[in-house]
Amino acid sequence: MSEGTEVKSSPFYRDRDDWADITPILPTPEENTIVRIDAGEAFVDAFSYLRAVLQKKEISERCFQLTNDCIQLNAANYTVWQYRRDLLKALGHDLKAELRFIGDIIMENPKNYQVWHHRRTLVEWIGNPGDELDFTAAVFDDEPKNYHGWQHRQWVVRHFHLVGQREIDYTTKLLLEDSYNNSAWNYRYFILQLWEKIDHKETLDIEINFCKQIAGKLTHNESVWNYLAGLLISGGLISRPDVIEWAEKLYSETENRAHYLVSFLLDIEMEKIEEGLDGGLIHVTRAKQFCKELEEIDPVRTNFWRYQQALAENKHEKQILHAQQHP
Amino acid sequence: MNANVLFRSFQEKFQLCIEERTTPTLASQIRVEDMCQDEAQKLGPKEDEKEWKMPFFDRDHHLAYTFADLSKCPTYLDASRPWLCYWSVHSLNLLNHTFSHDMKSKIVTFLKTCESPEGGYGGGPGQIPHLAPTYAAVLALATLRCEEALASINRETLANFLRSVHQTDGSYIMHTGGEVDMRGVYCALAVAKLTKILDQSMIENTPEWIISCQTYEGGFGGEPGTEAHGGYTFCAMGALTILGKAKLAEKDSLLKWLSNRQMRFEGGFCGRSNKLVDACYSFWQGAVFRLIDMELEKEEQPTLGLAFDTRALEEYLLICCQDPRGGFRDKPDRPRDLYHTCYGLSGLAVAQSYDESKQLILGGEAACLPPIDPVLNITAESETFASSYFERLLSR
Ligand SMILES: [Zn+2]
Repeated sequence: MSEGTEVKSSPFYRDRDDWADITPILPTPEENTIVRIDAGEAFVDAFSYLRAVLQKKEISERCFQLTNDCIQLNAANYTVWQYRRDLLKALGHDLKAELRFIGDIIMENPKNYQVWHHRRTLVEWIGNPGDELDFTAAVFDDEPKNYHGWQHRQWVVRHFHLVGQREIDYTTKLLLEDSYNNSAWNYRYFILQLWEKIDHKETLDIEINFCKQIAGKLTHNESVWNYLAGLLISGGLISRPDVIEWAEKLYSETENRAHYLVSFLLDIEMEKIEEGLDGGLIHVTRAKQFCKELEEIDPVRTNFWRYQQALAENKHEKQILHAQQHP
Repeated sequence: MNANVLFRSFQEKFQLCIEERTTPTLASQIRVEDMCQDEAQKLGPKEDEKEWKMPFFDRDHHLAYTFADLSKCPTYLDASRPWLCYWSVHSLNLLNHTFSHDMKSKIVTFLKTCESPEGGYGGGPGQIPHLAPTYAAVLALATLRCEEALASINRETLANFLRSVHQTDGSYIMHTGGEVDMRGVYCALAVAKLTKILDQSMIENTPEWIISCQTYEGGFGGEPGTEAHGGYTFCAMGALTILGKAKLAEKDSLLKWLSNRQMRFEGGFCGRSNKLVDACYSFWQGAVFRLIDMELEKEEQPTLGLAFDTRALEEYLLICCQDPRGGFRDKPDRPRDLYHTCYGLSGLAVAQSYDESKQLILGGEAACLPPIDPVLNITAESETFASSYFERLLSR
């Protein structure tokens, strides 16, 4: 190339010949009265061209390239992502390549709604689960409680019917690493529900044992208590005398009692009151004792424990009334 | 003497005790407890002093910070500009700032440029309409208490937009082609309720969809099956309250989960089980107690009364979350931002609302904030103004 004729490479769209036919839409004074974008020229330049092609609904390769730049500048702009999906479809691009692209972006911005939605849509279009389980596992290596990641994994498993022992084993692995990972507990529950095993006696036995092992050692772990109570939602806590016996034993053997343990026993008493077991009164007394203890060991929730105490009496009165009316 | 004498929070006996071996969750919990304790210790007496200092609500710096941040928008929030308006305008309103006519008209002018011809608002001019900025724009306008602001909302196209994103299963997508989650339902119903355009076509199957997101823990997730989370729980209960269907939520487990979100050492709230305290949940979780109380009142049942430890929450916010230069932060090692300033102040307003005499407010009279509407999160005064404006519009 001779001097003077070399192609100028500019970072700005406004200097590019292949964009010369587009009139950018720059921010008007009204659009900048407040919350003015605190951005450099490259940002304003790219987005003013984006606005222009969006307005004329242009479908072209150069627009697709433009969305690349805009996403680099702000990965949270949902309009750019939506436009990019429209372009992907219309231009018939390779969706697997797009999946690799979004994978990198997610790793940089793992807490962004748009990027995860983009990924979900792509996987849905591709129509098979590919390496989505591995992908989310890689995200959890960095952040085991990433909400979007778990939401994505749930969707993949539900959409492609991947429910099974492998998913349970995955949560076991994570829970052995950190039994305080509530996201893993929730996922385990989700899998059992989807698998329709949550009410099977055999499953319940295994899961209750798993909880006992963890809660027995770590009584201050709320997640495991919530999970255990969750397992027994349909039958009620009192449907499992073995669990009650275990919790009572734990109570009598522990000195520095976690409030979760006492609260679990309180819930058992509450159920007994509701069912009118042993005339109810003995359980009201015990419930009140637990509430007093809870006020002491867990004062930040004093008001809640007092409310529970009143609730115990209320439930008892209601139960007596009910029994009188339905002898 | 240590902080235990003065404060309800930061009691050594409630520091985490490690029972067996540490895990990543426990390690980060211990780190946060330590940094909160350090903040409390800063109020301790210096060399020649005897007394502990009481926490101070730094109103002037909060005003200055919030006002300054209303003028500019960082690039990563380019698709959330109406949010910046709402966070800032609502914070200023809570701080009793009086908006000049010029400022009001700047805000109205800007938000009008975000309104889409299809109805609803985008995250900025030229962006497609989205439920979250729609909610933020409408609430920012309502906060201003001026007819010009409310009149700028195109209610007809807004209703069309809301119907266009409502799904047959009752959920809402955030925008055309966008994701479904609990934020959508709440944002849609909140603006529809406020502007009085709510109709049956917008709520078909919606109560059922919301309820399907209540988890075994008692809180709500963003979609059916996902983990109970403070933000989504507020959205779910806010939406159910708007629909008059809060009765459908399983109240005992919700209340238990919610109560357990208040941290025994730090005094603030966390978003999910075994997660860390964060100032923004002061509002997301705190307001839900108010919503439950509203429902109990409706059912003529005994209310919760003082539902959580409001003093401990005030301590967390005032001692651990105020940036010395103004504004609020998630926790002591995080930078301040408008989002946490807005929800820190809103949470403080919720905590203070339990003290009708305003005699026991931490930080004294100088810290006193006006009452808020716990469903919409604008001040009660702004809510009344907007409601009566749209009421008059309907009766015309
Ligand atoms: Zn936060």
